[in-house]
Amino acid sequence: MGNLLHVLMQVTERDDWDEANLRPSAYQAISMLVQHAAPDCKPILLNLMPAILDRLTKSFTMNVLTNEDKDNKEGLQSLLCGLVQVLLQQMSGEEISQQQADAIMAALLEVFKTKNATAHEEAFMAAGALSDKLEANFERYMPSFGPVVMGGLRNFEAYQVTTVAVGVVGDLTRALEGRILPFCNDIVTALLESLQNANLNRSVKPHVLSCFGDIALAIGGSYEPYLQVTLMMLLQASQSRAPDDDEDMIDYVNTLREGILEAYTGIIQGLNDGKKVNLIQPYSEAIMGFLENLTHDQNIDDAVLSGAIGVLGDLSKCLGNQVPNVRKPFVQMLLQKGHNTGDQSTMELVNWTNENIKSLSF
Amino acid sequence: MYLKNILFAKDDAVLEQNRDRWRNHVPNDVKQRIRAMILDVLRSPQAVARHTAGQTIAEMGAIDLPTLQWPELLKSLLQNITAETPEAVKVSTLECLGYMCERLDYKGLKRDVVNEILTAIVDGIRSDRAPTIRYAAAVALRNSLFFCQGNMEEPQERNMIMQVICEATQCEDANVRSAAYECIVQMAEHYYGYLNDYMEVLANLSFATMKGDQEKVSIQAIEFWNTLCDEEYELILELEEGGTPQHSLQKYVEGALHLLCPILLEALTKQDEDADPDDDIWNLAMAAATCLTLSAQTVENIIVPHVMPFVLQNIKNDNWRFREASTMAFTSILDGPKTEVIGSYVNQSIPVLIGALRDPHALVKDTTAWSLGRICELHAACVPQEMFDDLVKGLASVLLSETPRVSAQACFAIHNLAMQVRLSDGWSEVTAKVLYRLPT
Repeated sequence: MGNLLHVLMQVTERDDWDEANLRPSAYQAISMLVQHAAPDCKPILLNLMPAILDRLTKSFTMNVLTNEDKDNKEGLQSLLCGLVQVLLQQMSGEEISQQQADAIMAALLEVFKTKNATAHEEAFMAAGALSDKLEANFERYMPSFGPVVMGGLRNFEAYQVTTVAVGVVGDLTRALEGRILPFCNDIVTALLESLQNANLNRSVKPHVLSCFGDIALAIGGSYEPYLQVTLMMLLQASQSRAPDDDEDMIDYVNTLREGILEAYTGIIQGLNDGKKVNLIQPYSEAIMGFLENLTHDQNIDDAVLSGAIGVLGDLSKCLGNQVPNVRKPFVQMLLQKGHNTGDQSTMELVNWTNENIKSLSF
Repeated sequence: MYLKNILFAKDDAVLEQNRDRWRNHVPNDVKQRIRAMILDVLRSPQAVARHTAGQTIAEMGAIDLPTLQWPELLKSLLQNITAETPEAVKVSTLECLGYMCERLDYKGLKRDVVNEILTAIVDGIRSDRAPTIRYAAAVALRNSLFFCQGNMEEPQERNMIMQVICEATQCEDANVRSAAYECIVQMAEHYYGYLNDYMEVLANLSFATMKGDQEKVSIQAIEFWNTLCDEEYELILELEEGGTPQHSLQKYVEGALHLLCPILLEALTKQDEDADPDDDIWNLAMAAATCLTLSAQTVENIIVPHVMPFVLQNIKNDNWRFREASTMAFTSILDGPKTEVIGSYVNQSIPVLIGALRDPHALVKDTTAWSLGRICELHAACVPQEMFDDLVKGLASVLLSETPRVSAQACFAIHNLAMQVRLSDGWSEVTAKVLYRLPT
């Protein structure tokens, strides 16, 4: 394999790899080459995966005598897990044999056994990438991986890990769809706990809220048992406001609102798929009230605006004539604001929502 | 010392708690006795006692000054400085003031309190004082300048402050000169809008210092220009975003470019061969490179004619110092000028730089690899297609054989090159080439 990747792999094993940030630099170069590889480089990438896994496996038996050894070992595992992730992103599901998938998962699970937040983040992302490629076939790893995800969700001390774990739940819902159902009780419980934990970094919250939408989309009508409690959370979060002169808070509240709106969209569409959309009816007035508040808020950004228009469209499409207050002036104002952004996809959303509203009979 | 530690804390919450205890829970007569006693100790013949007293007074003053609880304090300190006291007492008193300014919560500080502090400091920095006194005063001034807005608004006071600082840059003691430039840096950072009347003097002083003073003083003089760049860059950004900045943009850097650039280029040739880049020790050449980089970001295109002649003339010089300096100068101006202006130079530089990866001098190789990394990051499209193989081969050739620093720079270059690859602009075969064919 006489190529640049091979040389870079050798660089990471130079005797003086620990000087001048050499090893991370070399792995970052490899990672970027992998991410931007031309299609005809595929065979090389496929060869690289076993080599990386081999190194990851070898790292488990590295001797750790000093703190420095420990840092080095964990640093290396983070870099290697990161590479596994970018390599997986370049591969198709068919290119990953079951044997290789088994090997990848075995290695990642081993990483989770050590207490190391940074490597956990990278390993979660790698597992998420694998589930994305294997889709339903990822189910076979759930008995062992499920508890690991739960551990990540409850790792409140390292909120970055929590954030990534929440992201992995999203990946899993898309990969497994209905097959995630057996894990939903635990997952939703853990998510609710995290929302109620006062020590959790606030940046995790928007991800958690939007994750409810992912779950609902995956399990459809089976979301019913979680509906009331999660909607209470969403309605409560909808009350958050930022002072006009606090830009950090304004940004945060906007991300929070984006998460809330994604959750609404997921839940409405999920219930609709499961023919249970009428369950949302009792909450629709509160949701419309939220949309009305957003319309009159000067600080919302375009993502929130487009999310709000989407939820309006979902509600009118799925609930039809039962949408409350749809003739109130704010509805047209919201659509007008969306139209004024000039953004192509937002304008398409405006048109779609407008069609849904127009078709309502009175 | 015990008393100081009772009042001091690293953590803000604990600090507030301690300060509250002093304010509200120590009986007034006890406070008065402690205050009188500790002011006496500041005049002690024992250096350690004075020093400790100074720190303690600073902590107590930081609590009491904003609330006007200790009216005798500043009068007593001023007297130490102006009356017939030993030199050492004056130094300790000024150190105490400097430390107190650092510890003060300056918001809401009464104007006459600031005046009293400044009067004491300015008196200490007078040119007929001993250098040790002037140094302590200059440090105190540096720590107090940022809350002297009210005084800076008055032309007369501003002139006086400026005058004593400028005089201090001419002191025979290098520590005083260096501290004076730190004051000038503070001026540039906090009072950009008032600089106009003084700019010519400040520019001339700083240029002379950059050319001929000791390294640590020169570095501070360069820092003045770095600060001007930072301020002007911020103003330009704000103007571009349609904002109305607090000050109008005076383009000092642009105006001084023809004088500044030659001095910086000269300074670049004063490399410290034995400097360990991982040691965080700043030297003149590094400071000059930083200043050139900031200048290029601030003035963009127009820096190119001030730097490129030096680069073209020296990049193949027999003396490694000039080869390294011209490579560093070129690299420093890559970010700022538009591709239309710098692109043709980048295009021509590639074969020279690839060759320089095999330069006999380690520092030249290091800077060359860094330069290629920055080119791949900022102007990858200017790399001639036909040079591409050679470039990657050149980078790959140093990966295993050179020092970790050079190798890491080459990794950085490869990383940046790969990042720039876009399937849309005809580079699709690039990674394939890179991955398959090299090195042969």
